Amino acid sequence: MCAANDDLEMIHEAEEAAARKILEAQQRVNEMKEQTEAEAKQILKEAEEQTRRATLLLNSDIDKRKAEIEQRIRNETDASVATLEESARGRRTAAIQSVVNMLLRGES
Amino acid sequence: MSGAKGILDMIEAKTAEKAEKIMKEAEELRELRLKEAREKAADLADSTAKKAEKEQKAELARYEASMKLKAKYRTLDAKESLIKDVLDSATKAAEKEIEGKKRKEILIGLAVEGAAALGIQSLELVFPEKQKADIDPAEVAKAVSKVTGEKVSVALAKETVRSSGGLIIRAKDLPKQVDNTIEARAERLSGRMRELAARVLFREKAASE
Repeated sequence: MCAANDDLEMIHEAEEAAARKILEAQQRVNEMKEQTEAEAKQILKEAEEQTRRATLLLNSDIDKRKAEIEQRIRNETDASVATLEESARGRRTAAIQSVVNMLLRGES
Repeated sequence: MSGAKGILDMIEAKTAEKAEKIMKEAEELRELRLKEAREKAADLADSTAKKAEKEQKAELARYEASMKLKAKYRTLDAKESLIKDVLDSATKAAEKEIEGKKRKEILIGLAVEGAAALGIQSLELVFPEKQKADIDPAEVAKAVSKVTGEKVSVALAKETVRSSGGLIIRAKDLPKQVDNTIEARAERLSGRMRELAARVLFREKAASE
Protein backbone atom coordinates (compact mmCIF):
# COMPACT_ATOMS: atom_id res chain seq x y z
CA MET A 1 0.00 0.00 0.00
CA CYS A 2 2.87 2.29 0.86
CA ALA A 3 4.63 1.54 -2.43
CA ALA A 4 1.49 2.37 -4.35
CA ASN A 5 1.29 5.71 -2.61
CA ASP A 6 4.90 6.37 -3.48
CA ASP A 7 4.17 5.63 -7.12
CA LEU A 8 1.20 7.97 -7.14
CA GLU A 9 3.29 10.64 -5.48
CA MET A 10 5.99 10.23 -8.13
CA ILE A 11 3.46 10.38 -10.96
CA HIS A 12 1.92 13.50 -9.47
CA GLU A 13 5.34 15.13 -9.23
CA ALA A 14 6.12 14.10 -12.79
CA GLU A 15 2.88 15.67 -13.99
CA GLU A 16 3.70 18.88 -12.14
CA ALA A 17 7.18 18.88 -13.64
CA ALA A 18 5.64 18.32 -17.07
CA ALA A 19 3.24 21.23 -16.59
CA ARG A 20 6.14 23.46 -15.54
CA LYS A 21 8.13 22.35 -18.56
CA ILE A 22 5.23 23.20 -20.88
CA LEU A 23 4.77 26.53 -19.13
CA GLU A 24 8.49 27.23 -19.54
CA ALA A 25 8.22 26.37 -23.23
CA GLN A 26 5.28 28.73 -23.60
CA GLN A 27 7.23 31.46 -21.82
CA ARG A 28 10.11 30.91 -24.23
CA VAL A 29 7.63 31.15 -27.09
CA ASN A 30 6.31 34.44 -25.73
CA GLU A 31 9.86 35.77 -25.39
CA MET A 32 10.57 34.58 -28.91
CA LYS A 33 7.43 36.38 -30.18
CA GLU A 34 8.51 39.62 -28.53
CA GLN A 35 12.00 39.27 -29.94
CA THR A 36 10.61 38.47 -33.39
CA GLU A 37 8.36 41.52 -33.29
CA ALA A 38 11.34 43.66 -32.28
CA GLU A 39 13.42 42.21 -35.13
CA ALA A 40 10.59 42.75 -37.63
CA LYS A 41 10.24 46.36 -36.49
CA GLN A 42 14.00 46.79 -36.79
CA ILE A 43 13.95 45.41 -40.34
CA LEU A 44 11.26 47.93 -41.32
CA LYS A 45 13.02 50.76 -39.51
CA GLU A 46 16.28 50.01 -41.34
CA ALA A 47 14.42 49.84 -44.65
CA GLU A 48 12.80 53.22 -43.97
CA GLU A 49 16.17 54.71 -43.07
CA GLN A 50 17.80 53.29 -46.21
CA THR A 51 14.91 54.63 -48.30
CA ARG A 52 15.22 58.04 -46.68
CA ARG A 53 18.96 58.12 -47.42
CA ALA A 54 18.36 56.99 -51.02
CA THR A 55 15.74 59.72 -51.49
CA LEU A 56 18.10 62.34 -50.07
CA LEU A 57 20.79 61.17 -52.46
CA LEU A 58 18.35 61.37 -55.37
CA ASN A 59 17.29 64.87 -54.33
CA SER A 60 20.88 66.06 -54.08
CA ASP A 61 21.42 64.68 -57.58
CA ILE A 62 18.43 66.60 -58.93
CA ASP A 63 20.15 69.97 -58.30
CA LYS A 64 23.12 68.77 -60.29
CA ARG A 65 20.88 67.62 -63.13
CA LYS A 66 18.96 70.91 -63.07
CA ALA A 67 22.24 72.81 -63.36
CA GLU A 68 23.19 70.62 -66.33
CA ILE A 69 19.84 71.31 -68.03
CA GLU A 70 20.18 75.06 -67.39
CA GLN A 71 23.73 75.12 -68.76
CA ARG A 72 22.79 73.11 -71.86
CA ILE A 73 19.81 75.33 -72.69
CA ARG A 74 21.83 78.50 -71.98
CA ASN A 75 24.58 77.34 -74.34
CA GLU A 76 22.03 76.48 -77.03
CA THR A 77 20.30 79.86 -76.60
CA ASP A 78 23.61 81.77 -76.63
CA ALA A 79 24.52 80.08 -79.91
CA SER A 80 21.07 80.58 -81.40
CA VAL A 81 20.90 84.29 -80.41
CA ALA A 82 24.46 84.87 -81.73
CA THR A 83 23.50 83.30 -85.06
CA LEU A 84 20.30 85.32 -85.17
CA GLU A 85 22.12 88.60 -84.46
CA GLU A 86 24.90 87.84 -86.92
CA SER A 87 22.42 86.98 -89.62
CA ALA A 88 20.24 90.05 -88.87
CA ARG A 89 23.29 92.35 -88.93
CA GLY A 90 23.82 91.42 -92.58
CA ARG A 91 20.25 92.43 -93.42
CA ARG A 92 19.99 95.53 -91.21
CA THR A 93 20.55 98.07 -94.02
CA ALA A 94 18.01 96.36 -96.27
CA ALA A 95 15.49 96.23 -93.40
CA ILE A 96 15.94 99.94 -92.66
CA GLN A 97 15.51 100.85 -96.32
CA SER A 98 12.38 98.67 -96.59
CA VAL A 99 10.83 100.38 -93.59
CA VAL A 100 11.80 103.83 -94.92
CA ASN A 101 10.13 102.96 -98.23
CA MET A 102 6.98 101.89 -96.43
CA LEU A 103 6.99 105.01 -94.30
CA LEU A 104 7.59 107.47 -97.15
CA ARG A 105 6.28 105.66 -100.20
CA GLY A 106 3.79 103.16 -98.87
CA GLU A 107 5.81 100.31 -100.31
CA SER A 108 5.82 96.98 -98.53
CA MET B 1 7.75 0.39 -9.52
CA SER B 2 8.05 -0.83 -13.09
CA GLY B 3 4.43 0.23 -13.80
CA ALA B 4 5.01 3.67 -12.37
CA LYS B 5 8.33 3.91 -14.24
CA GLY B 6 6.49 3.35 -17.48
CA ILE B 7 3.99 6.07 -16.68
CA LEU B 8 6.79 8.47 -15.70
CA ASP B 9 8.65 7.77 -18.92
CA MET B 10 5.47 8.31 -20.88
CA ILE B 11 4.75 11.62 -19.13
CA GLU B 12 8.30 12.76 -19.77
CA ALA B 13 8.22 11.70 -23.39
CA LYS B 14 4.83 13.31 -24.03
CA THR B 15 5.95 16.51 -22.29
CA ALA B 16 9.14 16.66 -24.32
CA GLU B 17 7.17 16.03 -27.49
CA LYS B 18 4.61 18.76 -26.65
CA ALA B 19 7.31 21.27 -25.68
CA GLU B 20 9.19 20.51 -28.88
CA LYS B 21 6.00 20.97 -30.91
CA ILE B 22 5.31 24.31 -29.20
CA MET B 23 8.84 25.49 -29.95
CA LYS B 24 8.74 24.24 -33.52
CA GLU B 25 5.48 26.07 -34.20
CA ALA B 26 6.91 29.19 -32.60
CA GLU B 27 10.03 28.94 -34.80
CA GLU B 28 7.86 28.57 -37.88
CA LEU B 29 5.79 31.59 -36.88
CA ARG B 30 8.99 33.54 -36.26
CA GLU B 31 10.35 32.71 -39.72
CA LEU B 32 7.02 33.61 -41.28
CA ARG B 33 6.86 36.92 -39.44
CA LEU B 34 10.43 37.84 -40.36
CA LYS B 35 9.85 36.85 -43.98
CA GLU B 36 6.77 39.06 -44.05
CA ALA B 37 8.74 41.96 -42.54
CA ARG B 38 11.54 41.54 -45.09
CA GLU B 39 9.04 41.50 -47.97
CA LYS B 40 7.31 44.60 -46.60
CA ALA B 41 10.70 46.33 -46.32
CA ALA B 42 11.56 45.41 -49.89
CA ASP B 43 8.16 46.66 -51.12
CA LEU B 44 8.63 49.91 -49.22
CA ALA B 45 12.10 50.44 -50.70
CA ASP B 46 10.86 49.59 -54.17
CA SER B 47 7.73 51.77 -54.08
CA THR B 48 9.58 54.69 -52.50
CA ALA B 49 12.37 54.49 -55.06
CA LYS B 50 9.87 54.35 -57.93
CA LYS B 51 7.86 57.26 -56.50
CA ALA B 52 10.99 59.35 -55.95
CA GLU B 53 12.23 58.57 -59.45
CA LYS B 54 8.86 59.47 -60.99
CA GLU B 55 8.73 62.75 -59.02
CA GLN B 56 12.29 63.59 -60.01
CA LYS B 57 11.55 62.90 -63.66
CA ALA B 58 8.45 65.13 -63.53
CA GLU B 59 10.35 67.91 -61.73
CA LEU B 60 13.18 67.79 -64.27
CA ALA B 61 10.67 67.90 -67.13
CA ARG B 62 8.98 70.95 -65.55
CA TYR B 63 12.37 72.59 -65.02
CA GLU B 64 13.43 71.96 -68.61
CA ALA B 65 10.13 73.36 -69.92
CA SER B 66 10.61 76.45 -67.76
CA MET B 67 14.20 76.91 -69.00
CA LYS B 68 13.07 76.53 -72.62
CA LEU B 69 10.39 79.15 -72.07
CA LYS B 70 13.01 81.52 -70.63
CA ALA B 71 15.23 80.80 -73.64
CA LYS B 72 12.31 81.60 -75.94
CA TYR B 73 11.75 84.91 -74.16
CA ARG B 74 15.46 85.66 -74.46
CA THR B 75 15.35 85.02 -78.21
CA LEU B 76 12.23 87.19 -78.50
CA ASP B 77 13.98 89.95 -76.53
CA ALA B 78 16.95 89.76 -78.90
CA LYS B 79 14.62 89.95 -81.92
CA GLU B 80 12.69 92.82 -80.36
CA SER B 81 15.92 94.70 -79.78
CA LEU B 82 16.99 94.22 -83.42
CA ILE B 83 13.55 95.29 -84.72
CA LYS B 84 13.53 98.38 -82.47
CA ASP B 85 16.96 99.35 -83.77
CA VAL B 86 15.72 99.07 -87.36
CA LEU B 87 12.51 101.06 -86.65
CA ASP B 88 14.40 103.82 -84.80
CA SER B 89 17.04 104.01 -87.50
CA ALA B 90 14.40 103.95 -90.24
CA THR B 91 12.49 106.86 -88.67
CA LYS B 92 15.69 108.90 -88.50
CA ALA B 93 16.60 107.90 -92.07
CA ALA B 94 13.09 108.84 -93.26
CA GLU B 95 13.34 112.27 -91.60
CA LYS B 96 16.66 112.77 -93.35
CA GLU B 97 15.45 111.47 -96.72
CA ILE B 98 12.36 113.66 -96.73
CA GLU B 99 14.65 116.67 -96.45
CA GLY B 100 16.92 115.45 -99.23
CA LYS B 101 16.85 115.60 -103.01
CA LYS B 102 13.87 113.25 -103.32
CA ARG B 103 11.73 115.39 -101.02
CA LYS B 104 9.43 116.65 -103.74
CA GLU B 105 8.83 113.20 -105.21
CA ILE B 106 8.11 111.76 -101.75
CA LEU B 107 5.72 114.53 -100.74
CA ILE B 108 3.79 114.32 -104.01
CA GLY B 109 3.58 110.57 -103.50
CA LEU B 110 2.19 111.04 -99.98
CA ALA B 111 -0.31 113.61 -101.24
CA VAL B 112 -1.48 111.34 -104.06
CA GLU B 113 -1.89 108.40 -101.70
CA GLY B 114 -3.97 110.53 -99.30
CA ALA B 115 -6.04 112.09 -102.07
CA ALA B 116 -6.84 108.72 -103.59
CA ALA B 117 -8.06 107.52 -100.19
CA LEU B 118 -10.23 110.62 -99.68
CA GLY B 119 -11.80 110.59 -103.16
CA ILE B 120 -12.60 114.30 -102.96
CA GLN B 121 -12.01 116.87 -105.70
CA SER B 122 -11.32 119.99 -103.68
CA LEU B 123 -8.25 119.45 -101.55
CA GLU B 124 -5.87 121.31 -99.27
CA LEU B 125 -2.34 120.49 -98.23
CA VAL B 126 -1.06 121.18 -94.74
CA PHE B 127 2.73 121.11 -94.43
CA PRO B 128 5.22 121.41 -91.70
CA GLU B 129 6.47 124.96 -91.96
CA LYS B 130 9.89 124.16 -93.40
CA GLN B 131 8.44 122.20 -96.35
CA LYS B 132 5.76 124.61 -97.35
CA ALA B 133 7.58 126.54 -100.06
CA ASP B 134 8.85 123.49 -101.92
CA ILE B 135 5.67 122.08 -103.35
CA ASP B 136 3.59 123.41 -106.16
CA PRO B 137 -0.12 122.57 -105.53
CA ALA B 138 -0.75 122.43 -109.30
CA GLU B 139 1.87 119.74 -109.64
CA VAL B 140 0.20 117.76 -106.85
CA ALA B 141 -3.22 118.20 -108.49
CA LYS B 142 -1.81 116.90 -111.77
CA ALA B 143 -0.30 113.85 -110.07
CA VAL B 144 -3.53 113.10 -108.20
CA SER B 145 -5.59 113.41 -111.37
CA LYS B 146 -3.23 111.05 -113.13
CA VAL B 147 -3.81 108.40 -110.48
CA THR B 148 -7.52 108.92 -109.76
CA GLY B 149 -8.56 109.85 -113.29
CA GLU B 150 -10.53 112.80 -111.95
CA LYS B 151 -9.78 116.47 -112.10
CA VAL B 152 -8.97 117.87 -108.70
CA SER B 153 -8.01 121.23 -107.28
CA VAL B 154 -5.32 121.47 -104.66
CA ALA B 155 -4.53 124.48 -102.50
CA LEU B 156 -2.07 125.16 -99.71
CA ALA B 157 -3.63 125.61 -96.29
CA LYS B 158 -2.72 128.70 -94.32
CA GLU B 159 -1.93 126.81 -91.14
CA THR B 160 0.97 124.45 -90.65
CA VAL B 161 1.42 121.25 -88.72
CA ARG B 162 4.01 120.41 -86.11
CA SER B 163 5.90 117.51 -87.66
CA SER B 164 9.36 116.47 -88.74
CA GLY B 165 8.14 115.82 -92.29
CA GLY B 166 5.34 114.73 -94.58
CA LEU B 167 1.99 116.43 -95.01
CA ILE B 168 -1.71 116.35 -94.29
CA ILE B 169 -4.10 116.25 -97.21
CA ARG B 170 -7.64 117.24 -96.42
CA ALA B 171 -10.95 118.10 -98.00
CA LYS B 172 -11.27 121.84 -98.39
CA ASP B 173 -14.81 122.06 -97.09
CA LEU B 174 -15.28 118.79 -95.23
CA PRO B 175 -13.82 117.42 -92.02
CA LYS B 176 -11.99 114.67 -93.82
CA GLN B 177 -8.26 114.25 -93.95
CA VAL B 178 -5.40 111.85 -94.30
CA ASP B 179 -2.52 112.58 -91.98
CA ASN B 180 0.60 111.59 -93.88
CA THR B 181 3.14 113.24 -91.61
CA ILE B 182 6.02 110.96 -90.68
CA GLU B 183 4.82 110.72 -87.08
CA ALA B 184 1.25 109.82 -88.02
CA ARG B 185 2.36 107.30 -90.63
CA ALA B 186 4.83 105.75 -88.21
CA GLU B 187 2.02 105.30 -85.70
CA ARG B 188 -0.53 104.09 -88.25
CA LEU B 189 1.88 101.70 -89.95
CA SER B 190 3.71 100.56 -86.83
CA GLY B 191 2.36 97.00 -87.00
CA ARG B 192 3.15 96.61 -90.69
CA MET B 193 6.56 98.25 -90.23
CA ARG B 194 7.42 95.82 -87.44
CA GLU B 195 6.27 92.92 -89.55
CA LEU B 196 8.30 94.15 -92.50
CA ALA B 197 11.42 94.68 -90.38
CA ALA B 198 11.07 91.16 -88.92
CA ARG B 199 10.46 89.69 -92.36
CA VAL B 200 13.62 91.21 -93.79
CA LEU B 201 15.80 90.74 -90.70
CA PHE B 202 14.80 87.17 -89.89
CA ARG B 203 13.42 86.07 -93.25
CA GLU B 204 10.07 85.48 -91.60
CA LYS B 205 6.99 84.92 -93.71
CA ALA B 206 4.47 87.72 -93.87
CA ALA B 207 1.28 87.20 -91.83
CA SER B 208 -0.79 87.21 -95.03
CA GLU B 209 1.39 84.59 -96.73
